[in-house]
Order: sequence, then structure tokens, then C-alpha cells
Amino acid sequence: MKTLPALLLAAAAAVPLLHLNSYVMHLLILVIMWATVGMAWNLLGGYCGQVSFGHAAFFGVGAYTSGLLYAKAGVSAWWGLPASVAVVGAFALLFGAVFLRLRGPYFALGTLAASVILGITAGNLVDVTGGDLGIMIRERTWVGKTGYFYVALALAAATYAVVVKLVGSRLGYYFLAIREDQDAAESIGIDTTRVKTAALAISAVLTGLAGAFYTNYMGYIDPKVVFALHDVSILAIMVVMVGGVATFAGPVVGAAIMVLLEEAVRSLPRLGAAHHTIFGALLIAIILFLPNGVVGDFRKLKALVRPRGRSS
Amino acid sequence: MSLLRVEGVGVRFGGLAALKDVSLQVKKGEIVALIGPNGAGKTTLFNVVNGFTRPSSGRVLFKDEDVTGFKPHLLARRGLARTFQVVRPLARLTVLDNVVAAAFLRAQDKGHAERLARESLHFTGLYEERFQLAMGLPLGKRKRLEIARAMATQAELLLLDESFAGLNPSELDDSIGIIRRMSAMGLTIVIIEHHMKVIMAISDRVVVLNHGEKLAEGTPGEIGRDRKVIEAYLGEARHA
Repeated sequence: MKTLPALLLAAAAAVPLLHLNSYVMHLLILVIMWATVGMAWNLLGGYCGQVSFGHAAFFGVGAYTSGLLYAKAGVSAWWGLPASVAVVGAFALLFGAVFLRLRGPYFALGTLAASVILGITAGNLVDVTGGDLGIMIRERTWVGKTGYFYVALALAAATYAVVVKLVGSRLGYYFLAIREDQDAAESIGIDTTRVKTAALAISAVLTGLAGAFYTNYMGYIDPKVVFALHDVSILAIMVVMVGGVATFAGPVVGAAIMVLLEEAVRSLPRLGAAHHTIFGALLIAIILFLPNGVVGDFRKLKALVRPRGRSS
Repeated sequence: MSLLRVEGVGVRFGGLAALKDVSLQVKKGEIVALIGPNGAGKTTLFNVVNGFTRPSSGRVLFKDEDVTGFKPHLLARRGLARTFQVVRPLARLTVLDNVVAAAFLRAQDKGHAERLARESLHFTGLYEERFQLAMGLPLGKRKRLEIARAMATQAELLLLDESFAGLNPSELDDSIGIIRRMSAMGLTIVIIEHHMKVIMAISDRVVVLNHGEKLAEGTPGEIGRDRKVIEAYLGEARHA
């Protein structure tokens, strides 16, 4: 079980040797980046049970940390990666102090509201953020995709390692205990406020790193893109739900399915905006028939594919 | 030495007084039973001691430290554990993981936590079920899982809230055996119980609550003869 992720990482690292065209590389980079965001969300939502509808807040703060360092401080946007750890970390502590008092759906709604407020604020602070005009990174570090691919892959691998390490640790057990029953967790000696804050901070920092990477990779951000409810917050949840909640591989599989599905549906001819409808219907079908995600319901899927008669 | 002292504790929920001026002491090594009709305030008293409910008046002292209003996790850290009347297993975790999560309170690392957890599963007779999901256990075993989890925190004082309700006679005997062995290990136990058979068999002292007030206190024999208790509780409940 430990060798498979290492083999996959090695295989992924060899992908640029295939000289794939830049469109395919672009999709792969997006898959890897969304896998990172999904793994980060999974830590808080899947393992610790605190379902956030506002991860765009962390993605956006990370992205803008990078963007503002470039636009205002005049340094390379890559400094946004280390800087976002501090900025998003501090932001997450503040965020947690307010919203982790809320439980269940109230937490979800609180995080949703916070991310929307941040997006609107970023749009209105024209003097600081450039408002809806966004921030453009004029100097591209690399012309091709390979460099960005390796940065994204390194982030994803590091995130995966953090998740695996955490889940097997004391903190990981505490996450699960809180997810299952907060009062029972308290009564066996778990400081639920502190543990939830830790889960939130780690999840937020990893998401923020993905946001800072996004700024560097895309070369352009605006509030509607990086604080987006549907395209960031909801997508982070869908990646995990479709792949498999509270599984290691779930977010990776989910990111691949979501990015490719969206791309495939979008490229159907003569649909226009109707591709959203088809996309939504597909998601509903997945949630209905594979409630534990592709990884969680893998046996069910195998049974479907395999001819009848022989059951495992 | 008294391990636990409850002094003049009162709890009001809006206009309703759930507890009125309740005082009691629990000495190290004792088994104290807390009895009383439904709604007498037994679980509320546990909630106050364990930190879920902040009392409106009075104090709680654990090991001579004023712990009134402390959060439950701080009390657990000081050596106080409880079980719940309505069981609260960590449903989608295995039996073993339920107890490991609790054992981490004192364990240095995961190996240590697992050793402590296994000990407490052996002790409560749940070792064979360790890889089952907690939600798959029958009620009697879920009640025992509560005890295993509380023990795994290496508590000195256990508050057991109706750990025997709904058990069949053979499970009841098992559980009495478990309590006796815990007591022999030096654990102090306060137990809320309705079965008079259990109370008579295991408790050193009985405290009777009625309408949020302490009605009587004494040895099981004395309580069994107390007219006030018989009128308020035993006479109508017919558990004797």
C-alpha cells in the first residue's frame, strides 16, 4: 500500500518526458492542483468532519498573497508560496476563532458567507487589489508547461505526505473522534477547539499554497476567479465527494474525474451554457449511485463492470 | 481523602431548577450509586461534574482543586472519565480505534496507545470485536465500549451513567464483574443505576436524588429501609 503512491509519483514525474502537447499538460496540471486542494479540504471536511463551503477564501487569500507581492512589492510572484503559508495560516486562525464555534450546517454556512464577503471585498478594494480588473503577472517564468507541472506535482506530493502522516497520528485520531461525536471527543480529553483549529489551519495553508501556485501558473487572477463559490469552494467539495471522502486516493481520483469531465462536457458541440446542466446532472448521478465516491465504492463499481455470475 | 466533592450545586434551566443545593463527597476507592426517579437530576449532576453543564451555584472539587466550570477535556486530563446514558460510540470507527483515540490522552505514541487500548478491551471483554465498526455492535456491547473508552483514558474516577440499562441478565452479571474488578484496581466509581440488584451488589454508599434535591444517603441496607426513599422511589418503581 505504501509503494503504490511512490510508483504513481515516479510515473507522474516521468510524464514530461513524453512531450505531450501543452493542452494535455495544462489539464494534468489542473488535475494535480485540484487534487492538492481536495486533499486539503478532505483533512478538515472528510477526516475532522467540519464541512467547509468556503475554501475559496483560503485559495483566494493565497492567490492574492502571490499577486500582491508581485504587483505591490515588485518581487517575484513565486515568493507568494512561502509568504502564503504565514498569511493564510494567520488568516485561518482568525477564521477559526470565529467560525469553529459553529457546528455542522452552521459552520458550512458561516464559511460560505465568509468566502463570498472576501470575494466582494477584494473586488471593491480597487486601490489594493486592482478590483475586478485583477492582477496580471507579466513576466512568465517558463514558456512551456514542464516547470509548472513539477511545482504542482511537488505541492501535491507534499500535501499527500502531510495527510498520510497526520491521519496515522494522534491528531488524526482526534480529527476522526471529533467528526463522529464532539461531546464524546471532549469527554475523552480532546481539546476540540484546538484540534479543530489545527485541522482548519493545516487545510487552509495547503489550499492557500495551491492558490499561490495558481497565480504563478495562470499569470492572471481576479476576485471572481479565485474567490469563486462554484469554481473553487464547491469544486473542492465535489473533488472529494466524487473521489471518496476520508480516503487517501479519493481527492486524486476525484480531481481527475472532475477536471476531465468538465472539459469533456464543455467541449461538446453546440451546447453553449447548457454544458452546466449536463455537468450538474452527471454529478447528481454520481452522488446518487456512488455515495462514498469512486474510491469508497470501488467494490460496487467493480461488480458493475464485471460480468454477472461470479461475485467477490 | 475525598476525591470528589460537590458543594451546594444548583442548576437552573430557565425557570426550572434541575438541581437544588446538592452536596456529596466521594472517597478514593469507593463505589457510590446515584439513584432516583426519572427527572431527579442524576444525569444533570454528572454533566456538572464532568463539565458539560456549568452550575448556577455551588462548586465542584476534584482532588482538592476547584474545577467548577472546567471544560470536559480538562477534567479528563485530570483523571475523570464518564460514560453516556445514551451511548455515544464513534460510530464509523472500529472498536479498537474508538479506544485508541481515548488512550492517546496518556500515551506517548501510537504503539503505546494501542497497547493501552488492547488492555482495556481485554478488560471489558470486547477484544474479539476489536475490528468491528462501533455502529455494528449490539447495545450491550456498545455500553461496554463506553466503559472501555473511559478506562483507556487511565481515569481515577469513573462516572457511569446507566451502563446497565437494557442489558439482559447474563450481560448484567458480566458488567457487575467488570465494575468489581475496576474497583479492585483502585478506581473510584460513581454509578447511576436503576437496578436495585446491581446497587445492592456493588455499591458502598447510595445517594438518592428526588426533584433535584438530595433525599437520602447511606449504605445500601439503610437506603432500602428508608421510608422517604421507599415513598419517593422504590415503592413506585418496583425494581427491588
